[in-house]
This record gives sequence, C-alpha cells and structure tokens, in this order.
Amino acid sequence: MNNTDSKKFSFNGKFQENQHINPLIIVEGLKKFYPVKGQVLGRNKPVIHAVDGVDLEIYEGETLGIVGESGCGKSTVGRQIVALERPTTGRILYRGEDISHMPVSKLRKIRTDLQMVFQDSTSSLNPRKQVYEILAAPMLYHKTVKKENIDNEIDRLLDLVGLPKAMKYRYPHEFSGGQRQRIGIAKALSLNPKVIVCDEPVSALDVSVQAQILNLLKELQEELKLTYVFIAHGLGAVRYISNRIAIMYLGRIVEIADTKELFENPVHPYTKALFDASPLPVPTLRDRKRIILKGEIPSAISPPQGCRFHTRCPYALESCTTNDPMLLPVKPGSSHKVACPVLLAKGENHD
Amino acid sequence: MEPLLQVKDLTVAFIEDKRQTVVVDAANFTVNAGEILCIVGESGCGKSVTALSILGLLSPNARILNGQVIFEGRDLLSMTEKELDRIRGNEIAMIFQDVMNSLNPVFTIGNQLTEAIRIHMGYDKKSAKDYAVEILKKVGLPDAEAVMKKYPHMLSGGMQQRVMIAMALACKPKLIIADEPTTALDVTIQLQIMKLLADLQKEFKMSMILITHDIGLVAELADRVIIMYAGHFMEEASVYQIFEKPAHPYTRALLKSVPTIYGDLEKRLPSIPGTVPDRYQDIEGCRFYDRCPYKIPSCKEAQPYFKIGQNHYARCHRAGKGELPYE
Amino acid sequence: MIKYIIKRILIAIPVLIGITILDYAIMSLAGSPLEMMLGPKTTQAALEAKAIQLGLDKPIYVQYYVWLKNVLKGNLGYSIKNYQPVSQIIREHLGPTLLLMGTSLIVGLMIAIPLGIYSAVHRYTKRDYALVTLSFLGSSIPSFFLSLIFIYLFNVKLGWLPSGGMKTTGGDGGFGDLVRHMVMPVMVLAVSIAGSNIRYVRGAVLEILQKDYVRTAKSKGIGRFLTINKHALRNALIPIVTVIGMHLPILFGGAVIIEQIFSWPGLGLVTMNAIIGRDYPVIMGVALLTAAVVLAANLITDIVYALIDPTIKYH
Repeated sequence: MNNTDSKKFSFNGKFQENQHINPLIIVEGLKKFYPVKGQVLGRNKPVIHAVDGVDLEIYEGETLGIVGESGCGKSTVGRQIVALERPTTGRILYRGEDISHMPVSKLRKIRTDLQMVFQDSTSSLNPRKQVYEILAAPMLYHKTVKKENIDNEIDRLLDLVGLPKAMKYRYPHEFSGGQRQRIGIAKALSLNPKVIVCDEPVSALDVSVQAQILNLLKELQEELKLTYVFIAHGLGAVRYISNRIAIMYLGRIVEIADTKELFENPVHPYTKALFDASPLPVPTLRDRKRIILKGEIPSAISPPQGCRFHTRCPYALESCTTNDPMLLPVKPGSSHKVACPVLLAKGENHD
Repeated sequence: MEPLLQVKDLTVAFIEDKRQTVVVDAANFTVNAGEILCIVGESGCGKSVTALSILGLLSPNARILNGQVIFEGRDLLSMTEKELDRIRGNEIAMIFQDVMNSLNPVFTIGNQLTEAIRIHMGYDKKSAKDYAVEILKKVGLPDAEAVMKKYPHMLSGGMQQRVMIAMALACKPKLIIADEPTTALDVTIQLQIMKLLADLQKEFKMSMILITHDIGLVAELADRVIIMYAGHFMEEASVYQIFEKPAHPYTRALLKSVPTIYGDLEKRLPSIPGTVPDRYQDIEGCRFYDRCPYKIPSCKEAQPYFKIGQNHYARCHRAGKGELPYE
Repeated sequence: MIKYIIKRILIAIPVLIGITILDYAIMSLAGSPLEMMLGPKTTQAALEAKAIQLGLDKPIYVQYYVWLKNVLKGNLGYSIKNYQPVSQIIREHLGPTLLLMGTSLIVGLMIAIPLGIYSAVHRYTKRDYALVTLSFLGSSIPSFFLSLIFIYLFNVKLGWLPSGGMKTTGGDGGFGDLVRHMVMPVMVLAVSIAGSNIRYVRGAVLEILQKDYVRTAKSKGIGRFLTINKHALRNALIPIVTVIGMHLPILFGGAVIIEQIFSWPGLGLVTMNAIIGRDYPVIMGVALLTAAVVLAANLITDIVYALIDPTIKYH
C-alpha cells in the first residue's frame, strides 16, 4: 500500500459535516455489571461495575477514541457496541434500531456491519486453522460471498492489509505479531463492515510495527469508508488516529472532546494527570511540573461515593464526596464536555 | 574513574534441537557509578538476554559463547555459583518485568523480603523483619506491617512492583538491573513507580541498567542510552544526544515512528517498513540494511562502531562519515 | 472454610448412597450367590429354602433396601460363605492391608520425590536419563514377576527373608519379625509406586523450575539449595499432593496379587474371593468402605490444597 503524505483523509474529514446528521451509533445510558465469581449466596451479590452510565454518539466516518486505564470499562463499551454482549441496562442504537434488545435472528444480519479487531491476535486467531480458513469462515457463515468467489475475496483482503497472497495457507504462529494483527484486520474486513471497534489493536506490538498498523487502519478507513471506535490506553496512538476522544475512569466518561481541543485544553483532573503521566520523549522536559496521582485505582466492585475520582483528585472538595458529576459542556453549545463541576466553574471564572 | 560494570564482547546464543541462534553479538558497554543506562530495543533484539547474562540467570538452553562481565575487578562470567550468590541480591539486584509471576505465590511478602536480608546482611529474624518493614515504607507502601503478612496475589500490580523494588534494594546494591519494570502497569501507576525508582536511585547512590522499549521512559530517566537491534548495539550516546542528534538511521526511524501527544496532528506517522529479520546472525554487514532508507551497497560490509561525537557512537559508516545530515 | 467442609460432607451422603445403588445393581448382574453354592447333591427345595433364608428370593431393589436399612443401623450383614459378620471381616483384614500399603506408599514416595527433584534439576544429563529409564522399568515390571524374583533371591537362594505371611508360624512374633515379613512385599509395591511417581514429580518440578519466581529467587543470591527446596518444591507440592490423594483409596483396596503371593492376610484377597463367590454382603461392605474412603480422600486433599496454596479460596 503506497501512500504519500499529500493524500488527504477526505472521507474521515467529512464527519464534521455529518455531526448535524443523525449519528450512526447512539449509546444510551449504558450500564454493564458482571457478577463477582464465587459469590452465589447472599442477598447483596457483589458486582463489578464495569460500565456505569455511558452516553455516546458516533458519527459515520469518524474515529472515536476511548482512553482509560485498567478497570475503566472501555473494552466493555466496545463489546456492547458490536453486540458481543448485552447491556445490563441502557441501549445501543445502530441506524436508529435498538441492537441491544434485538432477537438473535434479526441481529445476525446486522452483525456483518459491526466488527471487532482484538488486541491479542495470538489468542483470537485459531492456531489450528490456516489463514485461508480463518478468513473464509465468516464469509461462508453469513453467506455474503459465493463459494466460487471466496478465493478471490481472500486475495483481495490480504492485498488490502498488505500481506502476500502466498501466505494464505500458513498458520498463525508462522507470522510475526504485526502480521497476525493484519490478519485480524482482514478478518474484520471480510464482511464489509461499516463500523470496526478496535480494542487495543497495537498495544501488544513493537513500536515500529505500531506505526505500520496505525497507518494501515487510517488508509483502510479512507478507502473503505469505515467508522472506527479506537480503544487504547496509549495516548499517542489514540491522538494520531482519532477525531474525537473520550476519557474513561471507573466506568464513566469524565471528558470528551475533539482531539485537538482535548490536547490543547484538557479540563478534567484525571485527563490532566493522564497526560502528565505519559512519558514525553523530550529529555530536557523531564523535571517539568506534573500531577502525580496518589494511591491505587479503586475497585470497580465498590467504587467511591460521589465523584469516582475524588479519592485521588488533587482538586477534590467536600462536595465531591457526595455529588456525582454529570458530563457538561465547557461552554454552552460546545462539543467539549467534562464531568467535573469544580474545574468547570474555575474555567467559567477565567472567562 | 573506574566504571562500575564493564561488559566486554558478550556473545550469547540459544540452543534448540542442536541449532544455535546467536541473540547477543559481541556486546560492549560500561556502567559508571551513579548513572542510569537505558538499553532500548524492540522485542527479540536481545536486550533482556543481555541483562540476564550479567547475573547468570539465563535459561538452561542458553549458552554464553564469549565475553566478560567485569564487576569490581572480577569477571562474573567465570565465577562459581557460590561466588555469584554473594553478589546476587547483594551487590547487584534485578527487577523483573512480569511482577505477578515473579513473586512466589505461596510465601508471604515478609518471608520473601527477609530472605535475602538475613542471608546477605546477617540479621536475625526480628531485626530482618523490622528492616523489611522500613524498606516497604521507603518504597511507598504505607501499611507496611500489614503488607508483610500478605500474599502476592492480594496486592495490586503497582504494589507488587513496589515490593519487587523493595526486595531489590534491601541489601543496598551498587547496581540495579530493571527489565521493563513498568510495562505491565497502568500509565498513572507507571509514573509513580518511575519517580520512585529515580528518587531511590539518587538517594541510595546506585547505578541502574534499565531495559525498555518505551522511548518516553528513556527520555524521562536515562543518563546514557544504547539502542539495540537484532543483537547488535546500533547507537550509544547521552540521552540528550540521542534525542537531539540521533545518528543511526534506526534510531531516527524509531524516534519518528512513535506517536506523541504534542506536535502537528495532521502529519503522517512515518513507519519503518518490513520487520526484524529472523535469523539475524547470518546477515553480513549491517543488520538494518533491508529496512534502511539510506542504504548503499557498501553497507553490506562489517559495520564497526563509528565515533560521532563526544561519547557518541553509531554502528553506521555513513553516519560516521557525516553523510547523513540532521533534518 | 468450616462451612465448606460441612457442605462437602452433606453432599457426600447422597453420593455414597448413589454409589451403593449402582454397586448393588452391577453386582446383581453378575449373578446370584446361590449359583455358587450348587453342588451335585443340592436339591431345588434346599436351594429355595436357602434363598428365603438369605432374602435372595426378593426382587433386587427390595434386597438393596433391606441392606441399606441395616447399614443405617450399623449392621453390615453377614458373609454368605462363612456367616461371619462383615464388619468383623473388614476389621480383621483392614489392618494388615493398611500397614502394607501405607508403608509401601511412604517408602515409594520417599524414593520418588527426591529422585524426581534430582532428575528435574539435572534435566537432560545422563543421570536424568538413567533415572527416567529406571522409573519406566519400575512401573512396567509386573508385580507378580518381581515378587517371584525377590522370593527366589531373598528366600530360596539367600534365606534372608521369609517367603510369606505376616508372622512366623509358631514364633513369638514381635516387631522385628513383622519387619522381616514386610520387606519383600513392601519392596515390590514401592518399586511400582516409585516408578510411576518419579516421572510425575520430575514433570511437576520441571514445570515449576521454568517459572519466573524461581528466577527471582535465584537472583537474590539465596543459593541453589534454598531456591530449589524452598521456592520450587513448595509449589511442586500441589501436584504431588494430588497424586498422594489419588493413592489414598488404593491404600484401602489393597494389592490383590501381592497379598496372594505373599499370603498377606489383607482385604484385597478377601474382596477377591467375595467377588468370585458372589458374596453380596461382603462385596457391598467393601464397596461402601471404598466409596467412603475415596470421598474422604478427595475432601482431605482439597483441604490440604487450601493449606498449602494461599491463592485457593473455598467459599
């Protein structure tokens, strides 16, 4: 795949216009709880509050990045969007239809539109199947391609992701990590999806390979008119590929904004701490002032009362221990939203 | 001043089914007192193997084919196990990457912590316990007495790593080797651990060899940096030189391919084409040749280290001759 | 934890009953003990009288019900063959079996564990190969064959050891005498136990030796001995305990062939004869005992796991 810098990501750029059109996916009041293993008896069964109230709109052609640390629920959100699981409460609307409560038979047809690329392609690719079989299986199951055309389809897919066609009879373990990830992407593409949720697709890869895969994803988006949800904990990668980014902490979104705006004006203390914590490849800045969060990430089984972040927040006030903040725009009508009344107020005072 | 550690011509290979694969090829480097040396590279380049060789911790199918590791005038590679045991955990200590699996699940933290203290420092049971509690507090575990009685699986990843650091520091070693100590941790926890390591290193006046693939981490912590690729050292310089004037094409490509959180959003991320070669020991000349944008036919001859500047070396004849200007 | 134990015991009772139902059903498929009593002079009338006397004229499920009722009262019934109370038969023969099997298990493991560790630590050396080969031999040699060789060697040729029985006939008995009688059967059994377990221990230890925490232990300079015998062994105990747990029921079952060759008055032989003679009460008595032992052994093993391995939690 040869690309020059001058190629503009025009399809992806169009999503700005689409914001006034209906969003492709709407996530409404999403909550997903998992029971804690082993606790069957007892009245108040402890649950893991993986996602505890998330609202999102995803527009056609954009890449929405979701960033957070362990236990924030980003992967869980991703799984709900592609209907791998059903929410505990709340709903997911795709093109206006509620896919979270749809009967399986109807869902089957929609599934081809919503695909996922996983982090660890080593474990998500069947080690006993050749690449050919891995790629053919979804197409045969959904009957999207006629048997006689499968061969050509597979060649086309391998070409799209930059893998030599000769390798289609090899097994996953014969490939490098980066190549396996390409196979995973090809598999996701095989059903001609509209939306791909990428769950930490580059975290397990070497640095030099990460860039290749990120570029591939960008090119594919342009060529195939895809919409991405990009889930990661690496800020640099998310920034490069996303148009908008949502920051999650303990099951909630704490801040959401356009990429440029987010990095120029982070408001939420957690966002700022996250940015500060990312190591900068600039040695002269190593002694810069930054927020170092104290303590550990609280358990998702019994999250803190009030604002979930207050236990580690350097700006926490008394009110933060009781009031659960809502996502509010920093300025009326702004698409930059923050769930922190303390710093929102500070921002208003500065205007 | 005499360097603390001198590694000379270290060559390590793995033997599998009678086939020998050389993974570290004639590595040469020194570590001075009080400095942090980072060895940076991607997976499979041999950086972990280099670190493990120093303390003789390689797996049974590894062979050290050649080399010396001089520590305080003695070659560690020619010592007996008994002699090495006096150095391990005592003069030179190691922190490992996968903390969850690096702590013994069936013994308490206290048990694992006091072990080395009693053996190397000769404390009795009670004094060792008290000392252990102090070290735990020093690494930022507030409830130290309670932690002593806990088992590893009861602690979070960050806390486990602090315990690991405590274990390494307990006998006040002169050198700590840290193999990807923060890779498995969340970013905000990573920052805590990084700061902790940096502070303790200064306080205890230790030297550190930090193995990592995270360029950002290198910028935050290193004094000197070695870039490793396919078993070879490709570049060696101070941290400032590496980031401001990277000489080797691999270093440059590596630095450019890391997406950052500042800078121009629209620019395309330059990636290094191709992948790390498989059996790189058989390659003649420069091992980065296939992926290098500056390659010329003469690159296929052996590539010794060329001097680029003050204490700045690169294994690239073109860089050495100044043929690769900085952009 | 206590709750867990009580729960296990409560579940064990219906399981036991279920097992005995199955046992009784299978046993009755083999045929009636009456057939074994047939002689040339037995009349039909006598047979029927016997059947009524033994309750064998009733249908199977009634027989089982009667048996179960008696068991719950503590009465295991009487042997059809010699009218002895089953509980007495078991009591008399369990002791020698336990003694023989218990000693053999201990000796076998005392050989297997250190040798298994040694083999794992010196993997792929000649010593390792030799040990593995020996262990194959040990577990493959038929026990009767080895018994006969030993008897030939130590009794016939050298005259050191008695050829059978638990004590010398007409002698005073005593501990030394008992030991001399035990040496050969224990050796035979221990060889077989050690044979299969050396490889098992070796495998368990090998797997542990690859673990990262063993490398950490080594990196602390605590020395080879501590690294292997403290850090590695403690974790290798878990699979070893599994193996011991699996062997426990065999302790009670006895080794029929060994008992026969060495005329050891154990439960194995008794059971064998009962099966051949279709001695229902004796068979059921032993079956009940065995089932109870297996359930108990599983429970004990699980408790020991929880003691050794702090990551295991039972709710």
